[in-house]
Amino acid sequence: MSRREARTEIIRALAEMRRRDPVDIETEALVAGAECPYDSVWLVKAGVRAARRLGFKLKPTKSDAHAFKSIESLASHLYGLARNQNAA
Amino acid sequence: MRAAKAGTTGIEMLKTISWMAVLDQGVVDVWRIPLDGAVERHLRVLSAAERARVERRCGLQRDRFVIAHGAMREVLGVYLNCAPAFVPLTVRHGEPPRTLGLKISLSHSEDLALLAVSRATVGVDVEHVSAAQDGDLDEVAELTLSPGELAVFRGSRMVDRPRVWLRSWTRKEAVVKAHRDALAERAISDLDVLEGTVQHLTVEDLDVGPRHVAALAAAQPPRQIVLRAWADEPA
Repeated sequence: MSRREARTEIIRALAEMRRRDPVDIETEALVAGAECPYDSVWLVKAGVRAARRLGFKLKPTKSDAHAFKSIESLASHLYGLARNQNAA
Repeated sequence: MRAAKAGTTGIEMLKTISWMAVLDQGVVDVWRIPLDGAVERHLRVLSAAERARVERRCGLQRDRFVIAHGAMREVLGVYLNCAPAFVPLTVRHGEPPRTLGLKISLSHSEDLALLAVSRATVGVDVEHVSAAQDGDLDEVAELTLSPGELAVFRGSRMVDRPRVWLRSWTRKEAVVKAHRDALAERAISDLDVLEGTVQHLTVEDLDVGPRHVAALAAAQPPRQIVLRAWADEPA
């Protein structure tokens, strides 16, 4: 799994849950960069769904708090978790 | 009222006295800020750093960010006795806002922001109920709730579960905002927030209306939590 795949799954999950066009979410994410206009609740839910689709479980810890601040940070976090789980 | 300590500049002393006069020890003011209304007048009082963050947003999210931060400056200006644009405020992405002599916490969700102001460490969180109403809530609950919280969640009616989960989630978020080391590297599900005291913090639910769930965590047991309504001025 690549970081790009993780990011795509997050955007897909957000689009499904918010009943939005994924292209609009993608555009917002590009403009927002390191910041994200979504509440942490949406990102936690999207992260859990994306992780499941990518074949692992996301169990949030305090150190993950920063990951729930933007699509980009969440994508990096999921990518890192998947890599660690594969290595283990 | 005590004067500011020796060596403090005149401006700082004035601010300190003003703040002490308005906010008593043991009181937490929680400002309820509706995120609608005029945007431009708030944009004018934001700092360059805040405006840069505004530029990274668009549409409704941009407007709500501007109003939340403009209103925060307006409210803090009352405590600090200065114009909103001159409130000494540091706001960085992912960090709590900081100002002179006061402990503050800002949270916003959809059309509502809450600003907690205190003399002691404080954390506040608000979430719109729609955020929890669909999509994998049972799985999310399993991954984020303690065994006790999960029992309460599973014992509640299906229709009530979004609010039950959000009640735990906002309490956890408020605790982590007030005490950033509350969890260390442990899972969020290890932080049980069913009781009124968590990690030496007093945790209270806030009644902010039917569409939102909110909670406050305070470092010292507050003698009084005052829910205040902020209203925008006509443009």
